[in-house]
Amino acid sequence: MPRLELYSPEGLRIDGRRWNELRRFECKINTHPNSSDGSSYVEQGNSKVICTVQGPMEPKLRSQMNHDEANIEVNISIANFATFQRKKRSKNERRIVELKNTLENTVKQCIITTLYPRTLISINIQVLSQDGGLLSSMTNAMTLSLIDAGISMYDYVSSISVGLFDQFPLLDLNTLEENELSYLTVGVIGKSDKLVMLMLENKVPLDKLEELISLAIAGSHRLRDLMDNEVKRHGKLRLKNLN
Amino acid sequence: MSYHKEFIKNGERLNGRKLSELRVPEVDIGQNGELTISAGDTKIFIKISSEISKPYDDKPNEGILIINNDIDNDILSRIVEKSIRKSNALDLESLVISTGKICWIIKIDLNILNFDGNLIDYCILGIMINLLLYKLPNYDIVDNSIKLYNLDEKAPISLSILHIPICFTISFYNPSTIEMNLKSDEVFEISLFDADKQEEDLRDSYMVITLNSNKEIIQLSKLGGIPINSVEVLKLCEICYDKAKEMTQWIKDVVKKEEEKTSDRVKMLAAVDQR
Repeated sequence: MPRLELYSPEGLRIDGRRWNELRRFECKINTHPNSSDGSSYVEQGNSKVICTVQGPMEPKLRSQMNHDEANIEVNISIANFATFQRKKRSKNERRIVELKNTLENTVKQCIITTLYPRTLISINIQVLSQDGGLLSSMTNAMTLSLIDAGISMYDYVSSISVGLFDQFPLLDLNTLEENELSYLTVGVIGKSDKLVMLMLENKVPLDKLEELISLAIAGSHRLRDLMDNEVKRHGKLRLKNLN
Repeated sequence: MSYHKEFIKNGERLNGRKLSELRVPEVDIGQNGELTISAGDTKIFIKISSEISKPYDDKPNEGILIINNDIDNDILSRIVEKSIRKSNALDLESLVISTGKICWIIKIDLNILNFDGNLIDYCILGIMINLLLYKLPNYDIVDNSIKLYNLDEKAPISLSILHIPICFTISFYNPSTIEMNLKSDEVFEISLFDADKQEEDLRDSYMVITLNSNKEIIQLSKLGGIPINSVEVLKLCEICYDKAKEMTQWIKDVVKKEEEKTSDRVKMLAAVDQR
């Protein structure tokens, strides 16, 4: 197979985007009002994620109870048909456990957990289709469903991946790009420059790191605005129905 | 506990080290493939062993590397995996004897003997020194079967190591409130290197960086925890790079010293070979 032209000399990527363009980002909140306290559906390009939140509720087990703050639990399930090749994944796969721990530790920072002592907040993430940016789309979906559930938070957590092609940073990679390039995923709370989550798994020259991180932060801020629009739209709709 | 935290907030450590000061590791080299590394009270025994085997069907051009640890810690094994296997520190292609049929299988077993913080860094350090020193037995292919020589029968083969990943874990402490950490633009979070057990218990978040002396970052993970300013993260990466250069030199010195010890024997063997 000939090597894919990931970034043409004219500055176009494989799907026709420029280096600093996001993929189509669509999100909806309150998609499953009957089965959960908060829910959301996020599409980032062809990545599709559903997230539902149950809680704050009384934990089933005493051991899950924390007397000072809420206990937060994240469950991830990736559908067998999520990738191009059908594949069964176990929940205990190391990579998935790592993602789960990362999401738990990330979301703990933005929820005001001390407001919900002795409760459990259970977050369930369903990945329907995977096309790059797995961690980032899960984070974004999680934020939206927590907002829908009405849980007190300091700010949005938004996340995006950036890759490095030769010398050029590229924003929001799809699977084809992710397979070829080294990339990192960044998570930011609100509109700050502070990184709550940072994951890089392939080789990247140290000199390029600054460029990558600043692009990722800009992308995350953009996503935060897009999510904010959806939350406002939904809020207005509800208000209208009330009247 | 709170007394210790108060101490760290003032930028001091109970163990008397400076914030960015590392412990000096001690390496005790045993027989081929056996090594004990200790730093402070952290002590890890690392054993490398090798066998002849068949490559995986989907990777006929690669040998097999297996890394086990006895405490079944997910974070430790993931980071060791990313730093050593995924970064191609050990050239797996060089382990193939006959494509798709015969290859070496290298097993690394980590036994944690004592824990006093910072397992990840010292595990990776120990593995790399051990891999650099490890010798595979020499072999001949006779009538489609493999004949292995003892280590002192014929000069053994060294592994081909493509680069030396060095890992650093940085612990972060928030001396103020959560709100201050989220809203303030100032950098007041305290970061310290090579935490011991007490310091690990107290930390609010941590970041693990693996890099090599070619100025490449191999792996970087900050899995949640308190947010840290991106400028500060970059600054820390630069500090780590300087430390990695020193560490690489230190590793090379250790390996050189050890090889000189055995070189006399090897020279003798080479002479026997020529005859």
